[in-house]
Amino acid sequence: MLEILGLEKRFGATAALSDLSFEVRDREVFGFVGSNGAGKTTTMRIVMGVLGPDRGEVRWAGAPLDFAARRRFGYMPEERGLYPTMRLGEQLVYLARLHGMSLGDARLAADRWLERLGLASRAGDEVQVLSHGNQQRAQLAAALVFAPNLLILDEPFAGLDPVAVDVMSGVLREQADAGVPVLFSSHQLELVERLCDRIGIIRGGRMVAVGSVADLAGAAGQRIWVDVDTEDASWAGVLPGVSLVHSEGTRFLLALGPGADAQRVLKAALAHGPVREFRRDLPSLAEMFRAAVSEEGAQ
Amino acid sequence: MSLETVRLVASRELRERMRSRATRIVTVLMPLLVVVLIAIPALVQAPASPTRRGLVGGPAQAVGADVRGAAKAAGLDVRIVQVPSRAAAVKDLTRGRIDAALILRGTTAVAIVRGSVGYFRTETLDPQLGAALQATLNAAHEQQVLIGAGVPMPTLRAAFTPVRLAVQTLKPPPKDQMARDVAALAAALLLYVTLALYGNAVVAGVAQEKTSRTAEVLVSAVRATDLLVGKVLGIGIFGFGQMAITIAAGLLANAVFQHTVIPGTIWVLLPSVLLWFVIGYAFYAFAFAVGGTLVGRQEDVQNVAMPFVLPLMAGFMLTYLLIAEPTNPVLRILSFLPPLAPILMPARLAIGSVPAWDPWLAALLTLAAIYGEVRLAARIYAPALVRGGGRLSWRAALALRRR
Repeated sequence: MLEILGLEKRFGATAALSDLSFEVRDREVFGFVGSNGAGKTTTMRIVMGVLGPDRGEVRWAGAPLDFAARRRFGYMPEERGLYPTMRLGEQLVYLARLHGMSLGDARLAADRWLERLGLASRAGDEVQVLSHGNQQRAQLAAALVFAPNLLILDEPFAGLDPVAVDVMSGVLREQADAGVPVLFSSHQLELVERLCDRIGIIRGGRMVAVGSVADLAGAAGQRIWVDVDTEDASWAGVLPGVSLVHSEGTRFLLALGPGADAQRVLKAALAHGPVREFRRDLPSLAEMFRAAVSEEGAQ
Repeated sequence: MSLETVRLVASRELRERMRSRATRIVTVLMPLLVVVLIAIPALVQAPASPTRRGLVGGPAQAVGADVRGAAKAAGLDVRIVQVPSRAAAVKDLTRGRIDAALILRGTTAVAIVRGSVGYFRTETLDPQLGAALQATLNAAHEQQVLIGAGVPMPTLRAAFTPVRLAVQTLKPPPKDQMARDVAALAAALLLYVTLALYGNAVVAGVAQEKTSRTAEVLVSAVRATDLLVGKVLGIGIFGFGQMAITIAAGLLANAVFQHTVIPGTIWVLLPSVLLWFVIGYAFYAFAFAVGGTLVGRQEDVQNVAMPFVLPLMAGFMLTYLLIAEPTNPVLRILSFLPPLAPILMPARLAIGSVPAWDPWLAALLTLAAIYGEVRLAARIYAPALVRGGGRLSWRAALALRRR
C-alpha cells in the first residue's frame, strides 16, 4: 500500500500541496482528479522522487519510501519521457535493464509488452516517428516493462482514441487485479468513474474527497427523483428535512437532509396521485467534481 | 555509485552515437581530412633532386668546382653541366633540363633563371647561393688579375685560402625545432577541436534528456550521479576512439608520403595528447553536462556551451604565442591553469625543454579542479535536470537543492 501523509510543497509564494494525505491500496485503481494546477502532478513527482516535499512523508508497504522501493515503481510523466531518436524496442530493453532486469528477461518483457500494446511492428522505429497515440502506448510499455510493484501514471489517457483507451484501461485493470496498485490522474471523469475502485478529488493542494464513487455520492447527501401527478412542488417543501433541488414539469429532484425519511416522501407523493417514478439519484463523478470546483471558485 | 548502471548508461551513449549517421560521417571525415592535409603538400612539392646548373663559356667551366663548393656551403646540392651557348642554355632552361644557367663574358657574369613558372610559383636565384656565387666569381676574377700581374702561385694560394668562420651557439636549437612547432600546433588544434566537439555532444545529450523529459523517468530509476558519469564516460570513450583513429591516420599518412619531419618529442607528445585528452575531457565534460541542465529548449544548447568553448579557443590561440616564446613565464603559468592546461601543456611538451614537474603539477591541479567540479555537478545536476520552465541561470542553478 502507498501512503501519502501530510505532504506540503511550496513553489515560492504558491502553496502547491497543503497537508495532502491519502492512500492507494493493494489491488486497486485509484483515480486522482482535480483542476489544472490542483497539485496532482506535484504529488506524483514527489512520490517518484523527482521533487522533494517541504514536509510530510511517503510510505510504501509500511516503510518510508526509499530509492530501492521507488526503483520498482512504473512512472509515466505528464509530458512523457522517452529518447526521441532511440529505437522503441532497444529503449524498452534499456529501461528494463536500468531497473535491474537481466538482458534476456528485458528482451522477453519488451517483446511481450510491445505485442500486448499493439506496437510489435514498430519495435525498430525511433520513438519520434510514432504517432501521439503510439507514443502514449510506448510510454505505458516503458512503465510496465520491468514488472513494477506500483504504477504512477500522469494523464495516461490524454489524447487517446477510444480503442486505445480501451486497451490501456484493460491493461491497468489487469495490473491492479494482479496486485499492482495503480495511481493515475485524468480529466476524463467518466473513464475514471468506470475504471477506478476509489477516487481522490484534490483542490488547491488539499484532498477534498476520497472514496469509491458510491461513497462520494453518499457523502454528497441522498437525492430522490419523484414523478407524481402534479406540477406544484409545495407538497414536498412541507416535509421535514426535504428541499427541492430541481423540477421538470411533474418530475421533482428532492434532497433529503438529516432527519428526512424517503418513505414519508413516497407517502406524501402518493397522496397527490399515482407515482410514476421514485428512484434514488446518484450524482455522477463529473457533477461531484464540478461541485468541488465551484466550491473552490466560491472560496 | 552503481557501476552496472554507469556501464549501461555509457553503453547506450556509445551505441547511439555509433548508430548516428552524422557521427559516422565525422568519424570518417576527421581522419580523411588529416590524411588530405598531409598528402596535398607532399604531392604538390616535387621530390628533392640535385639542382642542375648550366655553365656557358671557358671561364665559366673553369669556376665549376668553385660554384659547386659555394652551393654546398649554401646547403644546396648542385650538379654542373656544360652548355655550349647562351641559346642552348635558354632552351635547356625552358625545357626544364637545367634549373639555372651561369654565363661568363670577361668580367661580366649573368645568372639566368626561369622566373615565373605558374600563377603561384616563381623560380629565382637562391639569395644565399647568389651571395656565395658572387664571392666565388669575385675571387676567380681577382686571381686572374693577380696571375696576369705575375704574383707567384704559392702567394696567390695563400692569399685566397678562405678563412673559415665557425659559429658557436651556446644553446643551439634542436635541429627538428620546426617539426616540434608544427607538432605543438597540430596537438593544440586536435585537442581544441575534439574537446569542443565532445563537450558539445555532452551538452546536446543532457539537453535532449531534459527537454524530452526522459530525465524525469530516468531519475526515478537511476541515481543522477550514475547518469552523469555514464553519459560523460560513454561520449568520452567514443571521442577517445575517434581521436586515436585520427592520430593513427595522420601517422600512417605521414609514413606513406614521408612529407613532415617527425619531431624527436613525438614519443612524449603522443601519450601526452591522449592523456591530456582524457584529463581535459573530464574537466570540460562535467562542466558541459551541468550546462546542459540549464537549457529550457534545445535551441539554448549553443548558448550554454559557449562559456566552455571560449577557454578552449583561447588555449589554441595562445599556442601560437607559445611557439614564438616557449619560455615566456606568463605562458608557463597559464599552462598550469585547469581550463588551459589540456591544450597548452601538451603543446609545451611538443616544443620541448619542459621542466619535469611542470606536466605533473598541471595534471594535479586539473584533477583537483575535476574533483571540485564533480562535487558541484552532483549537487545541482539532478534538480536542474528535472526542473521545468525556461532556461535556468547559473545563479538559479547553484541555488537549487534537491529537497
